[in-house]
Amino acid sequence: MKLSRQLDKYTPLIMLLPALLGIAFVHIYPSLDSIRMSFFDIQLLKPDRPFIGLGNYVKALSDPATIKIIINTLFFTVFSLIFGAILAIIVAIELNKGYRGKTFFRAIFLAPWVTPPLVTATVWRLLLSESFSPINRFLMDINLIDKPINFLGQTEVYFGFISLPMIMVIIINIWSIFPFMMVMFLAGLQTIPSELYEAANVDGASKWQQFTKITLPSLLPVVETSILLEGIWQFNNFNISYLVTKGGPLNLTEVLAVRVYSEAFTNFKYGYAAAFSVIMLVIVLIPSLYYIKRSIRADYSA
Amino acid sequence: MSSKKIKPALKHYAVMAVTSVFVLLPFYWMVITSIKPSNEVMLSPPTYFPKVLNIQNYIDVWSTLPLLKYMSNSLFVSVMTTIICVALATLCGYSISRFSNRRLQKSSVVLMLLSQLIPGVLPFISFYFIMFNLNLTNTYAGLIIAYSMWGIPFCTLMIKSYFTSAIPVSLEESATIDGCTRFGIFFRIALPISLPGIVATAIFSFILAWNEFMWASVILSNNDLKPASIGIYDYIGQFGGNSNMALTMTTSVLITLPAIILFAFLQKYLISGLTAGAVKG
Amino acid sequence: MKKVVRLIGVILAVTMMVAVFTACGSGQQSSDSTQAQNTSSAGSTNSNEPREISFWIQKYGSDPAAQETLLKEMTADFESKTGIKVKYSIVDWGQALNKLTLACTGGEAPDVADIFFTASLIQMGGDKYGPMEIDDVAKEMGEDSWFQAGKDEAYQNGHWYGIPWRFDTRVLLYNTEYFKEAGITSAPKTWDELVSVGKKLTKTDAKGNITRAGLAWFNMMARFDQTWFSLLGGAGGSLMDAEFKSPTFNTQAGIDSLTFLRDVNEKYKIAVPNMVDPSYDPVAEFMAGKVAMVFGVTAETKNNIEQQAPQLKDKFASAVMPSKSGEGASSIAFSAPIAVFKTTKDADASKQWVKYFCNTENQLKASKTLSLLNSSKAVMSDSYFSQDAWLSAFVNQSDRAVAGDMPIAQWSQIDAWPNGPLPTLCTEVIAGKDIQQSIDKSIKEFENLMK
Repeated sequence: MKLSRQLDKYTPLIMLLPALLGIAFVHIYPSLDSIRMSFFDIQLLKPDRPFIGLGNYVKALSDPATIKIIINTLFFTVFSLIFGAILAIIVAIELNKGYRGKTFFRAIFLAPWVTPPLVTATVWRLLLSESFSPINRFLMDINLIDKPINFLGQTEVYFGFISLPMIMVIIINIWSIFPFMMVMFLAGLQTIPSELYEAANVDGASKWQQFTKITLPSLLPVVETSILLEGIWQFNNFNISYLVTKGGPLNLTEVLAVRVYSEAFTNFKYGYAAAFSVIMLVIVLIPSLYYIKRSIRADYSA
Repeated sequence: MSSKKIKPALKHYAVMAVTSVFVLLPFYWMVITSIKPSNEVMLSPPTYFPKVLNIQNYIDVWSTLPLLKYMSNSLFVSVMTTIICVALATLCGYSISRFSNRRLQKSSVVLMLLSQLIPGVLPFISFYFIMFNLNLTNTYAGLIIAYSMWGIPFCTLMIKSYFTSAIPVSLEESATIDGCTRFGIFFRIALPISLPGIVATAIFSFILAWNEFMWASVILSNNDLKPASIGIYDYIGQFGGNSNMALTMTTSVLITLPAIILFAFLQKYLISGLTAGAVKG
Repeated sequence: MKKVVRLIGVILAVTMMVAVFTACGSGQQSSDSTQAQNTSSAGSTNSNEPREISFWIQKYGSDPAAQETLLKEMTADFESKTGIKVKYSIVDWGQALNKLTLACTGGEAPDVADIFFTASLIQMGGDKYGPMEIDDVAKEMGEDSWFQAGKDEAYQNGHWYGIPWRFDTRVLLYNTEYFKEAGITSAPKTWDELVSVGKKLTKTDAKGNITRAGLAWFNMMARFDQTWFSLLGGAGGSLMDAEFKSPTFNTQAGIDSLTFLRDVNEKYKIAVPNMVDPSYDPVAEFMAGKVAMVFGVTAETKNNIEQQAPQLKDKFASAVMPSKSGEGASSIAFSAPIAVFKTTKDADASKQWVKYFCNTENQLKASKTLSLLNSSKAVMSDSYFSQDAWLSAFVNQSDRAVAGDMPIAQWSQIDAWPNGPLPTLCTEVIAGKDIQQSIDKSIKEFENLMK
């Protein structure tokens, strides 16, 4: 009896350990190893691997293409997140109204989430190809355009970073990530007590006021963690850009994760690729730190 | 009915219709391409709907690819991933939520978040060699371990918020007085109440494992273990082009449809589980 | 309470199952790790134990089932003859390079594999890993059995690191119906003819948009480097000097070929501007009737067209590619060897399999099944190749082809797609940058990588 009481003291630790060990083994060690590699000139084709300090970083940051890729990545992340969230919140609010068929629609809207990325990329490439796209045929049938749109091949760039292929890649990405956000919002919405709306109705608040004064404030804390994680995931998103366009045409849709991949796996420059991934880490750490700091403080008070 | 009621309903169904078109267009095109007769697939502009129905592609794909094998591999790996991920995440999340003022628990939350910041492509190499040295390449275990660990941070954070909000501490305190150990409380009180939250987390980890393809294609060279998420590679040729569009789309339909149907049934739990958990961030 | 106990029971049982699985995995694999240790000990294995080797081969042909059947038959026959079991696996192109890289840097390696970038792999592998020298096999099979392109890829630093097998060259694909319509009787032989024929075949709508292009480069995922290599050869230039020491495309031929690469669209308007679209597939466009000629298609294209666009059967043909002057090289050729890895624990069995797989009879069978050409002179002299109307163009073309891969270790970096110096050069030219400047930049980076 006494022994088990003694053991019981360590229960919280025992519960924590397996997951922590797993994360250390799968996430932390390999990442620290990457950081280490970023200070060495590691190239598979060269036998010696000298320490070069910040050499890889200097090279990466002095390449004019790097800034372009960073801007691409931020554009991709922010727009995927904002428009994905807007679509998700509109759909979630509508689904939460209790109209007929909501289970049916909910089931449909979840479908992109369970579609493997390889399938997503292949079918969207077909949907957006100039010659075989039903969208082009439709637009031409209703005489909106006189020649097929070249969705993934238009190389005009506006404001230095907006191009049609990038917009298409973002749309594909929104297609595949919005179900997750929708589910999150839907769950959050169901926690808002309906009395709040009733009271607002009595006070004569408009729909928009209800949305900004009740829905958003009650929703945000609930979905904060998921939105932050979604943002991080999108910043690190490799699948869509790599599978749909391989970063093309003319590197217009190249994002940092794809650059890391091609430096490491096709150019065999592991050190240089590692430096790129540390740069990614630093960029995404900035907004995350704020959240981490706050979440620690919040836990204290809880 | 007054116009006051009709207008919102119209708006509602308009939103549903537009979103459905956006969501379903790729699936529609996938199915349509797969049932087009072969002389119609490569027409430009394409036809919206085939003139004759053709199921030959399905017969071809079914007879050439071991799709059932791929599916059962995927299913096995995903189910195992889900079980391990959920088991570990539940324990960890519970510990974090109940003992949130301890230093270790607090730093665990930070660790979980940090682990998500690290770009996924590069640690691959170091991780590959760990797994290789443990003789885990070319095994189901190599996939399952990787996927469950990848899923743990998010699952833990979700379950943590669930425990924090769904289970009154007073309930546990009374159990402590009754002489239950902490494990006892966890199993007898916390776990049963939080089952919906666990189901929701389970679905997340399941989808994660179901969709993953990079890791699987790197560590597997034994085709008997191949999951469905990379099955479509069988029809993609040397130059990255789609050497046979109709068969690629047929394979896509065959590997996506079962998952979609499964989730159409599971989503009820997903939403209710999340709802209960999401009371407090 | 009972429910909970049951749940715990299930979780425990499952955890144990995982443990068992892991254990199984390590049981199978422990033999592999010993493999890595006794490097290439010759095959004096215990005669009681069945000998087994692993074999990786990339995916070829448009029908996955055909390759599977071929390998099943061949391995079964080999096992019945020698008692050696060959466990093959078909590697997806998407991951082929990653897997070979890992195999050459200490990761999981097969005993025998179908490789490419041979020189890079040897360099990466160093003393312990990578393809092993198999001079004895090459000598036994006859060192003159293969075409020069095949030898260049497999023969490095005075040793054979593999036995050449598949061979690949590119030809001109054209739609015979469109040729008839336009009154064209023979395929173009020079670039000027290509342009004039292309102009006759190109159709535009009232607004001047191209509705049917006369010509398309064979570029997948907007990758132009291989097309340019053909054009460079066709202009009489070469990528590197004969000793493969330095780049040699900073010449008039280099400028001419890059100019032509760009001008089919920019100046002559016989190709559509969307060639840079990553979803643009020239063969698909050809099948849809939107392109009349494709410059640089592979041998398997025929099967592809017949399967996916049966309406085009007998309405297309192949021809030797045009060069600038109408003579000399006009295309590229690739060859790939079958290699034995240094980490094999049964080098003797591996070599036997290489010999078996690469013998004339089996290579002929493989070529037919997988729509490939072959590096072996004996295989290519078979009447199967010369009598077939489609394939004979490939046979003729192979006499007029330059190597598409340079046999140097840095080649995989130089031609790395999309950011290696050569693909970047092509992309920049297509994007309209100054050709001479782009060449200078590319040469500089090329030389940097060669250091």
